[in-house]
Amino acid sequence: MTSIQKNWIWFLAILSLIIGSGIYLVNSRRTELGKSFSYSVDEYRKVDPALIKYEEVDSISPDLGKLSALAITPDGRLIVGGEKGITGFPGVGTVSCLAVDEEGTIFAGMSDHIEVFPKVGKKKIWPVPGPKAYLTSIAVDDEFVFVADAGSRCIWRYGRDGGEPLKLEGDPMFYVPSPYFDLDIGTDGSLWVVNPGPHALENYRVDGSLISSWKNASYSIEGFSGCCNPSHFALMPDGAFVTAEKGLVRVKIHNLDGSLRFVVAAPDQFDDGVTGLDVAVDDAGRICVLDPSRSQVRIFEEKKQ
Amino acid sequence: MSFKFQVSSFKFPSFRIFASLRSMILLLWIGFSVSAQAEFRFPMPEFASGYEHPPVVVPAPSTAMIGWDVVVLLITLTLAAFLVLKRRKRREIFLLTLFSLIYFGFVRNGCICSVGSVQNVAAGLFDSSIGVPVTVLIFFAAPLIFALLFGRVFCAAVCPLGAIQEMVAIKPVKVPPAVEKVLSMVPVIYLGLAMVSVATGSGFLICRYDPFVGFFRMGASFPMLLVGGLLLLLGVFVARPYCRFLCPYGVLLNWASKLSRRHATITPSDCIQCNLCADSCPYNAILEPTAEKAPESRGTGARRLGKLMLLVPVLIVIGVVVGGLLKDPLSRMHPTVALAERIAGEELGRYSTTTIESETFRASDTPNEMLYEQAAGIKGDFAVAGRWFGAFIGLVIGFKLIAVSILRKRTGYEPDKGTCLSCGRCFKYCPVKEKT
Amino acid sequence: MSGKRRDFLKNIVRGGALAGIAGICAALGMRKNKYQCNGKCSDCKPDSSAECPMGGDGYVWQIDPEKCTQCGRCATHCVLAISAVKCVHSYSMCGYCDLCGGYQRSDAKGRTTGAENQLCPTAAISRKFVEDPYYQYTIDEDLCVGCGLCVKGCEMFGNGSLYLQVKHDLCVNCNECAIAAACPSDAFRRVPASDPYLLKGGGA
Repeated sequence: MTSIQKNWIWFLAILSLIIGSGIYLVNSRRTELGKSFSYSVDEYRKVDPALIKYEEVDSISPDLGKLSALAITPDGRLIVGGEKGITGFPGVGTVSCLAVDEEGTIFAGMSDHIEVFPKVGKKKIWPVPGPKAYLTSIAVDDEFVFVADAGSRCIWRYGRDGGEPLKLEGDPMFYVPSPYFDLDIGTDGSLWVVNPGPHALENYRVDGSLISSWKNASYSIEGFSGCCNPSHFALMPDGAFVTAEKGLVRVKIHNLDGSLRFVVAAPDQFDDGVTGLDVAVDDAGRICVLDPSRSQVRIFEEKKQ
Repeated sequence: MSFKFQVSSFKFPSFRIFASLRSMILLLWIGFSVSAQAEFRFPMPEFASGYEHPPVVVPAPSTAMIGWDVVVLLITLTLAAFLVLKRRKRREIFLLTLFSLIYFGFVRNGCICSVGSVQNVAAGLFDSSIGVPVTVLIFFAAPLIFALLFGRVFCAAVCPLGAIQEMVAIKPVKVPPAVEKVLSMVPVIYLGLAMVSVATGSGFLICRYDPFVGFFRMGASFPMLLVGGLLLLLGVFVARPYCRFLCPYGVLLNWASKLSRRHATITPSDCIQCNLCADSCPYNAILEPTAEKAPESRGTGARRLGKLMLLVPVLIVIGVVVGGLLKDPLSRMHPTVALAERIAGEELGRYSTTTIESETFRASDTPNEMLYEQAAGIKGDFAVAGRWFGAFIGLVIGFKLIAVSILRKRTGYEPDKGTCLSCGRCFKYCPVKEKT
Repeated sequence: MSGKRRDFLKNIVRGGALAGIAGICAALGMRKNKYQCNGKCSDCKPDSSAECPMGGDGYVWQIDPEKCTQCGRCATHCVLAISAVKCVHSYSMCGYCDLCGGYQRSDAKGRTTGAENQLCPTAAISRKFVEDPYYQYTIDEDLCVGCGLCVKGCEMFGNGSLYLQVKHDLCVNCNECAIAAACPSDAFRRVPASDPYLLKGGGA
């Protein structure tokens, strides 16, 4: 073989190698991360269907922009708050929390102050002390108005007519890592508060002294997942707790001692990553859940056996 | 927090010439959902111990060298022109090449380079919202201007990709001129495809398939290093394979150099036709002197030229038609089209697994129809870009045929102004001494 | 064609080419800023629908944390051996929780610093007790590979104070970022080199 022929063979060999590797290059993809880099909470998303004793019966889509607060009047009407105002009071601004009393007066937390809308008469403004105020929950009974301030990590207790509030700082403290801090008033007049950091529900007298508490930090269905849950709760007529969580989004009912009673809605019934699931219960035991991602109030009833 | 998927016509860097309005509407829609959450900031907890959190360290990029790059570029270009045209010593040119390899290659990691700057400039021309930094403009324009004046001095001693190949060109063999002529269409096609990719927002092909940048920045995927290594291996025998058969910027330098005012000459004065230089050139860039008598009559030549000139529009039309037909395979280089085809395929059960892209898309709120609509729009863009590409290729083929048919009288050995890289190897072999 | 005429034509075409190049450079180099930012990067709206035309000091790549879906490609697709993308912690957004969603695995046996309880595969997050009940979490950049697991956990179960950013002391600023090309959620953007980070929580 002449040297020219040998050169040609070399040339063609290398050229075909290059073309081959070029095709390989164009079609190659970087490998993805392996199994040790995977993180999935799918196993916690699965809920035993036997535990889900509630079904969604209805939903309401109020036209208030992004929904942010929910309350039920004693006669069972829904009051919803959102970007564009409150049911019946459009255009008042963005509401962060709502409560209604027996007369129908609406108490609205507007981020850093309270606005009271009586059925007749002008609205009143109650200022909230402190530079970091961010109101996340209001509850009303005959004597007091309690408002949860996640920014200042405390609860303000106002009289029915407003005035100078009393600061309740918890026992030993309220540990609020994110703007979700809910409270409700029990039938005995005592205050139930979520302490989100320890995943606890705490019961206080109106002067701020602790009566009892229970907690359950767990990703499994019996507990509260993540760093600060439950994000919202409401008390049922018999004193049981309806809780809503964020992160692993679910709505459950817990008994008075904290054990799980039923699951109202499992994670697959909600959009991924939705927060702000305010819950409210009417006297008939129907559970209303605010779903901001679908701009709806979803109503759940116990399944008929 | 909820996450909205942006159906991507805005793959980095986001140039979209034909559907920017569509994407703008989409992005504004997303902007509303995102910006609302950005306003409120939940306050930090109170720390009784007076704890203060450590600062968030955000080091700034080192842009200090970029200004120097331009200075060094202009100096090396000037020096290269001086060495090629005046000093005419191969060793000095080689030393400058070595310097460029070290500086532009290993010190500056081979990026930004003039070869890639074509894409940035094209992006700026296709989409008026894109800005092109002045550094990039200078990297694009300076080698071309020097080529218009002095020939391809950039290729000779400044380009880092050329430099690395120059270092390994130890045992060059001659590629047959016919093969060389045919393969010289490859960089034209590459340039055309790169422009199609930029015009349609599919990315920077020249950067993605730069074979030597992996060596310069000491990091690349295995396929890239493999291709680079094999090209260098080939480069031992076939000198400067990337420059001659792949470099898209070389197409522009070739055209500019053909018009150059002064160009490297092989002899310092008159050629004595000893033929020593032609053997030494590894690039087939030296043209032989023509025979004494013209091989054919003027009339035959003129008639052939006329026919070839008429062929040019025919080739352009063929190019336009073929280019338009290429829209389907070409459009797959755009990620949105690839995603749309993947989603459609998964819906029809053609694939057994999902990809990260398809999973991410499904997790977003965007309906499939919107994705398909976007993809169809992009395919339309590819049809237009493909037709222009086809016309361009047809035009270049036509002109190359004309150039081949025209016989220019040469009395001595001359470098082919287009393909001569001004490397200076031939200077050593020419026995003619400078006229005193 | 005679030599003189050919040279003349060549001169014309050469002049035209020079003028063309100069024209392109002038048109692109003097491109007016169409955005109301008046050249101040701090006034730029991050969701602006077109790229920043500020050519002056060049662009660098950055991740928009609002769009990132933590697919893990930042760790694998960077051209550098160790990715230039690292996790950044915005302390002002952090809840300082004992049970940190970005630090701990969901099936952690206890709230300890044991490696089996940590989400980070390279143990790049270190936990330090501040005061009851607050814990500080810091990222060791030498160990972080930019995989985004902690970001996923923090987003889902926490305040979202951990997020991925391109670190510009490491990034070589390729003309085409390989990660940006592969990002499934199109989270990469070019930002001016004078303001190269898209930080959450106002930068603290």
